[in-house]
Amino acid sequence: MQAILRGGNRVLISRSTNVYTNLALERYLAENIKHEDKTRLLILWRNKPCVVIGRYQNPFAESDVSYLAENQIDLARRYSGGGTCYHDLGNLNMTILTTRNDYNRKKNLQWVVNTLNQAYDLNLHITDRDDVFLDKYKVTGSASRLERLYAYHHFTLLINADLKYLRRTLKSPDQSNIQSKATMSVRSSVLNLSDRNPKITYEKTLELLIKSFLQWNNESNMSNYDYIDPLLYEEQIKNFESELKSEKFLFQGTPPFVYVIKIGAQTIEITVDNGIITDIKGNDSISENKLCRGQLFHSVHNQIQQLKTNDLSV
Amino acid sequence: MCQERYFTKKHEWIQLLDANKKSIEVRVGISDHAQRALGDVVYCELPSVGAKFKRDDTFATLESVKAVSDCYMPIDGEISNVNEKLKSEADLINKSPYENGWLIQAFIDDKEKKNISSTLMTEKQYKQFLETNKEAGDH
Repeated sequence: MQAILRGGNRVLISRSTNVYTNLALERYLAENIKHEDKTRLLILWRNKPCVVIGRYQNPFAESDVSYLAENQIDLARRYSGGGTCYHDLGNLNMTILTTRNDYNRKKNLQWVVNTLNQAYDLNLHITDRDDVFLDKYKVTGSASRLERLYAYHHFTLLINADLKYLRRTLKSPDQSNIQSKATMSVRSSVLNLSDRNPKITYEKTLELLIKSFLQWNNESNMSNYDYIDPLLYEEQIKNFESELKSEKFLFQGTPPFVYVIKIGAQTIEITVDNGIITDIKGNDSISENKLCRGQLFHSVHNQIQQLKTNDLSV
Repeated sequence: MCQERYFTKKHEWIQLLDANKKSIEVRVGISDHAQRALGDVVYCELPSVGAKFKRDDTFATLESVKAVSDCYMPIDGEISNVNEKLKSEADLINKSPYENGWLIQAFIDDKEKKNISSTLMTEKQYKQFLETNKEAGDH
């Protein structure tokens, strides 16, 4: 069991496709591995359809929360910063874990870009926001978390994801109603690598990146990669997993916001702090409204949406 | 009011506030070096007043250019005040890391007060520390 926590240049590939399990595994490894200077750990993982928001984002502003629930698409808040993304099995996630001093996003992305450009004859480039673009299309988004002893930089890679779902799930019906200081996503048009070169597959890319990563880190042992089944580490990761799955973290971890609805000449303002409604202004004249202070915003979200649609019939 | 600032290796600063009252109060923030390394701070998560922390505990978390980073307590203390302005203007940390961009204030005891000068770096020592660690952590 301890072998999984040894340091050095290594690659681990997760066998799980559950976003909560993978995020928990990532955090567990980050906190417990014996990180060695000037070495890197690469974690490769992918998830079945889900939407992942950044640590300080508002899920209602970033995605269609009701649609996700109706379609069994998981919604997760990660521990790192940045914006919202849609994952499915056609999207590869990569995490590069190092000591805090060795954290370097540009170097990581340079490695990926060089590898893919060379192998697939592409023209990928890195932007100053640490995204990777192919022409004017985004194919990679980055985010990081820095702690005292370690840091990780993780990023996505669109290989052949379902872009229709991506657009649908990331379209929020509440975006214009929400006023907040939460981190906002910066939206871009996206593209799958396989759209540009149909020979590019997930499996091929995985193999390519493993080999290239070990070479980049001057690792002579080319078989220094392991598949990891997070189920075997259930005990160790369950606390993180519970936190990630909890409504408390997911919805109450949202920075304070005000939800504004205009119904005819009436304006209703719902103030939400730590996911709880702390104030409502302007709703006295709405007779059927059952909103009140102390309610969890996400529990009454559907009712709030009802208020909005009722307006259209006025 | 302005007492000397002391610095940690993790780039936090701590300053004793005017000790007119019975209790000893300090102010904590991050250094100019730290704010430059972070980039524009877009969000700041601060603790609640009354929360108690030990030295090296995470007391606040910042988000900047898609990176979430923790801030660590220079010494043991109990939060007496947080900079409310940061809730709507997180980038005060960048614009004024030593003045308007302070993060928290905390009550500390006499022992900790002594620890400040004996375990942390003066501004001069911190500047030297930065010089000798130039290649460390580029963000």
